[in-house]
Amino acid sequence: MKRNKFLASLLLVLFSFTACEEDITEINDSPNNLPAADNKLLLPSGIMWSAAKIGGDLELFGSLWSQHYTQNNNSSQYRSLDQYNVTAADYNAIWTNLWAGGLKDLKVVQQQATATEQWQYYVAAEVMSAFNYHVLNDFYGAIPIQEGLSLETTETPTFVENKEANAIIIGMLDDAISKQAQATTLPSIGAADYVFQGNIANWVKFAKSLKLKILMRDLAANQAAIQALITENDLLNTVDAKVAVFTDAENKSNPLYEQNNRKLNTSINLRASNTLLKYLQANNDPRIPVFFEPTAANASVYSGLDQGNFLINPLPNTATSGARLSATDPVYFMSAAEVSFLKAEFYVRKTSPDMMAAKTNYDDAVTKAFTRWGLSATPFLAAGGKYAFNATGTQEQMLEQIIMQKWVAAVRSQAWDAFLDQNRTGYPRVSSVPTTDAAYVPGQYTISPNSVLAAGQLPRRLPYPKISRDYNANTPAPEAITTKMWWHK
Amino acid sequence: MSALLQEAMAQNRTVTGRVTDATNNEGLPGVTVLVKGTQVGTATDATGNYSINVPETGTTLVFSFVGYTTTERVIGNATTINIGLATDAKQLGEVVVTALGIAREEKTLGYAASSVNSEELTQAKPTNVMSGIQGKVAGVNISSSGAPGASTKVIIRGVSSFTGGNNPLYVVDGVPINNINYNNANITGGGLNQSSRAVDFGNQANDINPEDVESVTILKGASATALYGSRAAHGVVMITTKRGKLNDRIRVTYSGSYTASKVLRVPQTQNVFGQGWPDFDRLENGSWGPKLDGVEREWGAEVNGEARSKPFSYVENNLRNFFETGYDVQNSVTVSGGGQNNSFAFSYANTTQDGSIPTNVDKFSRNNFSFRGNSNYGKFTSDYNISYIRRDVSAIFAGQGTASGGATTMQEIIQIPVDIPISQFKDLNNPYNQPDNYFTAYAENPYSALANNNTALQDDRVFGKLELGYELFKGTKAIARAGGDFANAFVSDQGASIIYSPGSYGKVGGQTDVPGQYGEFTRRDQQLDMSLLLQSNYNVTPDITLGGIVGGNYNSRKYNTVSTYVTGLNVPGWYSLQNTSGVPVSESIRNERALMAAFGNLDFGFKDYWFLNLSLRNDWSSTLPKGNNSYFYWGANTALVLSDMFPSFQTEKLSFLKVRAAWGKTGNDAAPYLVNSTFPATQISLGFGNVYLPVGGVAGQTQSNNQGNQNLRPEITREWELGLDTRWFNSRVGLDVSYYNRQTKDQIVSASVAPETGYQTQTRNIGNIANRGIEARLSLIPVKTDNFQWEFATNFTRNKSEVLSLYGDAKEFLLTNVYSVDYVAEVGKPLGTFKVPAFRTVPSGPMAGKIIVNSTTGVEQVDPVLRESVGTVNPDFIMGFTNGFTFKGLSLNATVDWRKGGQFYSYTKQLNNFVGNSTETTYNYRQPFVVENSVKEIPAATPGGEVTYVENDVPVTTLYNYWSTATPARFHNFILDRDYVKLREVVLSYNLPISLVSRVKMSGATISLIGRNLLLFTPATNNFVDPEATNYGNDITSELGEFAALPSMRNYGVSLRVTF
Repeated sequence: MKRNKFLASLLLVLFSFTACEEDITEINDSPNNLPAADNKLLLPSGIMWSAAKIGGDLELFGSLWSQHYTQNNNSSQYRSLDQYNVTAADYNAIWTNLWAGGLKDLKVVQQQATATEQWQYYVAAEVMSAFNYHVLNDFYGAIPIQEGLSLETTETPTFVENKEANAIIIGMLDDAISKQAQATTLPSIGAADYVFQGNIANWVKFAKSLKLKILMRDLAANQAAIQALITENDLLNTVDAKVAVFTDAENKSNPLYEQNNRKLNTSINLRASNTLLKYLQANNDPRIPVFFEPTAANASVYSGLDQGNFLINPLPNTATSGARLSATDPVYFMSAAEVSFLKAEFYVRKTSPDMMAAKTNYDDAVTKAFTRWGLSATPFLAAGGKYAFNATGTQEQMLEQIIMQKWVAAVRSQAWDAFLDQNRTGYPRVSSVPTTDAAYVPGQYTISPNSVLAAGQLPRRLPYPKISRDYNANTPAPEAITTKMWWHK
Repeated sequence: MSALLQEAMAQNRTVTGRVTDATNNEGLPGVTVLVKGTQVGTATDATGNYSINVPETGTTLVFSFVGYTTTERVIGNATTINIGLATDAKQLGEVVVTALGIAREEKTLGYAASSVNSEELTQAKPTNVMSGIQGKVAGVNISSSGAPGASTKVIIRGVSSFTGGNNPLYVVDGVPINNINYNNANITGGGLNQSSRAVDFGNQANDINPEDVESVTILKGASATALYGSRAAHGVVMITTKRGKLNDRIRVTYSGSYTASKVLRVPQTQNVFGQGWPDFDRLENGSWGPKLDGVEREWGAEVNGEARSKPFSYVENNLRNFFETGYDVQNSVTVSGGGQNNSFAFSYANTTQDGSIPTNVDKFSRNNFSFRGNSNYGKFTSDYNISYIRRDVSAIFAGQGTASGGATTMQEIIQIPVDIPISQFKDLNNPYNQPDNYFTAYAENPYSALANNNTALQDDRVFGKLELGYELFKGTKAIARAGGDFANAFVSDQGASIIYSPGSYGKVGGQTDVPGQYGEFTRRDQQLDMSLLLQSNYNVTPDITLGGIVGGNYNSRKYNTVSTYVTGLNVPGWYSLQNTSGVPVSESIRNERALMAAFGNLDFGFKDYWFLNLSLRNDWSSTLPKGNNSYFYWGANTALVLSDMFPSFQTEKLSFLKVRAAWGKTGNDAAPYLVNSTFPATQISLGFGNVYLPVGGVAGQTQSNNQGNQNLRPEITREWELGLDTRWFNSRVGLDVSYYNRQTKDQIVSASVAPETGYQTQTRNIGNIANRGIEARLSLIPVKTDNFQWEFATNFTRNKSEVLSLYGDAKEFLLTNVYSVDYVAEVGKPLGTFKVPAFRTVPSGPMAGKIIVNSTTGVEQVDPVLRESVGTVNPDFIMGFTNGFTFKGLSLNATVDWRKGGQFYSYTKQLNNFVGNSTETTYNYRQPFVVENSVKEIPAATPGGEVTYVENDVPVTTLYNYWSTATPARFHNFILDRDYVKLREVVLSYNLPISLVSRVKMSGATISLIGRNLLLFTPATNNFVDPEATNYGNDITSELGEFAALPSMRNYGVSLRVTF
């Protein structure tokens, strides 16, 4: 009797606790986040990740290293950038957010679009991916473009060398271009397409323009292909590839403005670099007030600091000009002005230069660079004007003139591209004397007196980030940031 | 005749008397009074009186009672023997509450279990239970940052979990309770982090009223905790509350204390150089200026054309004088009693603290109501309790502040040059102290920060249990136990807006407007825990006892949080979600998990000297993948009391000798929702600031950066331990030693992967962490007379951790990082080591190993890739010393804590270095110097040629850059030694004579002078902070160190305890 009672109780206890074991994992589906996402929500995410890093951190690098801005002497936020002291541990978020953020979302869009035949999303996502790859490729020198984004297959994707990666990017662009007809007939993406509001033709123009830009990295080898693109002229001639949806509200603003002006404890870090300011002043360029604020001491005076000379002391904040940024500044990926500059450059550098075509495109480019700010370039381009095309100069002189204007056009928009251009063409030149020297030519780069690099050196690339090197055995061995890439001059 | 008469008289001799508790002179009922060497005995009545017939041969009476030292008295010719029995701490520990709330005799345990009784716990009136144990038990590392209401960290046998959850499971009267640490990571959620706006509202285990606690037992090893399974992987703290006694009168106890709190440690500043950077500058926030010369100088802004002026000289005690004397007041009343079948205890306590920050922005108050009861009707028993706790905490932020939330107090105090009296800034109506005219444009008025930028928590919590027992038949009992724990927390968080007037001193100096911020956060927690047990105990033969338990448990935990904040306050000073032109940012999180278990336990005893225990448990967890969510584990332990097994061992010297051995395995599950990958709303961090979709009216979802894992396994800990417990010289010398070896395998973490894979992390089972250590407790009673006793005890804890493996080829796992300081788990090293950028050194040749400097600046170059290990968070050992002196009614107790070894990161030092206030920055009297043992690099003449090195002759000249973060090489300097010696508690108590207190109907009264954290000694290199200070919570991350943490406090005052 006793034993039965005991056993019965025992069984009751055991059964009651094992019976419902089956369903217990059902509560483990997160009520906070969905297990999937529609392309309409993923595409804007992929584009915004790209805009946040290219228009944020990379724009910051570009604007300091292209000597548009320099670090203020009375604050310290960007000192390490302005002395070229970038290690593998710094700014890893560029790499992280472009790969695990933007490119991953764009890849899922492409995969879902393939399965559901939403070619309009496919085209936009593929071109946007190609653009991200291009930026990463030219900043780092090699990228895992083939094996990346596939954690399911490999944790340690191998890296593809810069030149080979370019070919893959061009393959992607050609693939996107080939889907134009199918994509155009489908319903428009609309506002979820932050760049072109669903206009597929513009995505194709962006693809072809990017193709042009990449082919120009090796102009000699690609002359025929470039000529064909320019002859077809289905390029970003009138429209910019940019994200222009920012508003002056917290978490909704231009990324560089948001971090530099709204969220840092002081917004006086970025000051006018004498390299750019002296060039603009020497040419009486009306874009000075667009790019810089007047000094606090005197509203009609613009004054800069020598690049990277942040230990100069004492020099009050009131004596120098800050960078002018706005919460609503668009993030530019490519611009119509840039395309015209590329065309002008091609006509100058091709085997049989075409000076007339070069001038037409140069004038067109400079005009676009001025009209972006509501200004007129006409007096500057007219014969005898400060920026009139020097059609009688040497090929190199013409190239220098084009790139110098492209360098100014890139201020407050594509400073990161000006950094790539200087690597590629060597313009602006690097001065051997300081800006205070009578022999100084305005617009020429000066090397930061606080540089941590060997004398005369400038940074040419970003180091492979620690976050990649730590977890991927295939990440290439570190290169000095002064090491040139194959397409550098 | 006379001889006969004498014999007869002797036979009839009756001795009477009263037995009292020596500490309070209250009568002790139920004391056994035995005539030594005979079977003749009796027991004292309810008031402690006895009467005994002593046989002719009897010469001595033996008085014995559980929890008191057995005492003998020679009868002689006495007819009345009154005696006060002293409590015996060692004996009190003999009954230990083990897993599932089952009381067992300590000698039957095969594992180490440390107990602390209520008296030891509450003697210095700590505000929470675990603080009262600091320094008193081996194997447990307890620390607290010390701000009012802040959390207490309890780490048993070392940290082993990478991602948190290193705190033990807290079990009150057999039911687990929640121990959530309320900080801004888990309450106020998104966008805030520990280095910018940290606040520690304390962990929930601190809610328990220490006066309610009868005893605390700490179960450390896997064998001891196997029955609690998944949740006990880091040990269990078993708290038993005080109960009313059956058949007892109503007793009322009041206990109260008042202590003053003063700041314990503030950074030591240099006293040689004053304001400037590097020249004198009235606007500067640092002391990089000229030598202090005492000359009157103007400083800061001009208001109406006039500036303030003061002598350019060092201000003594500048930082210390910023702080006030706070207070800590505690009141507690307990009413208990019992009838024939029911007993009860009701208690109310309130604790109010105002910390040392000026004004009452750092305030803590807690009100505890608790009702506990037992019923006993024959075969039916029940045990129930319910507690309601209301907690209010006001706090200011640690860390460096945020753009919209504004400045933090410590960050701003440190940025005041050593020649400027901080107290000058107190009057916020003084125009010089207002934002526009504050003396520096690089910092804010700390008084303004503390007045405006603060936060408050309000938490209502109810927890309790109901336990019903029924004796099915003799020796077997069925028990049903249900526990619940419900909390509802609300946090408000405000930061003032500051608009600088155009053209003002501040604006021109570069100040940016602070938009201001207000947020509200709620968190609701719920835990339900239900068990059914069958418990049996039998004496199978006179020599063999057998006990067993089978049972099951269901545990469910849920919480949800809603957080909303706005930035950009339109109307200054109006803290409301409506006060903005912007869009509130809201986030809600729901989280739920459940765990079911079936378990069994077998206890075997042989002849009261050999004991064997076996526990088995199987868990089913909701958080692991279906099909992989069931796991089984077990533990076994045995104890052999050699002194009872071989009675010949017992001599006058050796009183007790036991050896023990245990082996156990426990499993642990994952956090919820790690199995599947998800697509959250897109929120992009920019480093500073964010971009949150929707932007332009378009919403976005992004693939989560963490990849789920459908093949997740439970985490498994295996541990064995050996121990020895021995007592000598009538228990006046006791030694208890354990050695343990624990390995924790397959931890469930979000392991980093290279981002080019499309993810930043993947949920994985990784790693194998070993923790091996020795725990020892030595107790001595060097002096013991009727009136005077000296008790001494020391405990020693040494834990050596080692990361045996991680995953794949990974050699390192980043726990967290601050600036260039990485806090990592590295294979072959202890868990938690610091890595900083390594100096570039000469690789080979005669100069090999020398530091390469920048040939222009003379500053050490940092290798762009290599990082160097510069210490670990793990101590070499921790020791606690307790001393107790009792003289009649007077007693003196002191506890000292000594930690040796280990390092921590100090942002306080980093910032003091930056602004030139630290003593280190006066190195070489701020004259240029050449870095020792360094060389210059001579680049190769031709590409690919040989690089050569020459002795460095370039002095460092820009010292204000050299000592600060501007030189990445300096991060070596911000890792400090964590060694300390702390005088943790000093208590001087006096028990008022019973003759006195009984006149006012009291049965006992004790008055004490108490002191907590009175003294702190640290190595000379740490003249900055209390090494316990942290603003990183109470888990593995907090071991990292501090980021402008608030200072800790010393308390001293008086306490009173009276019983009616």
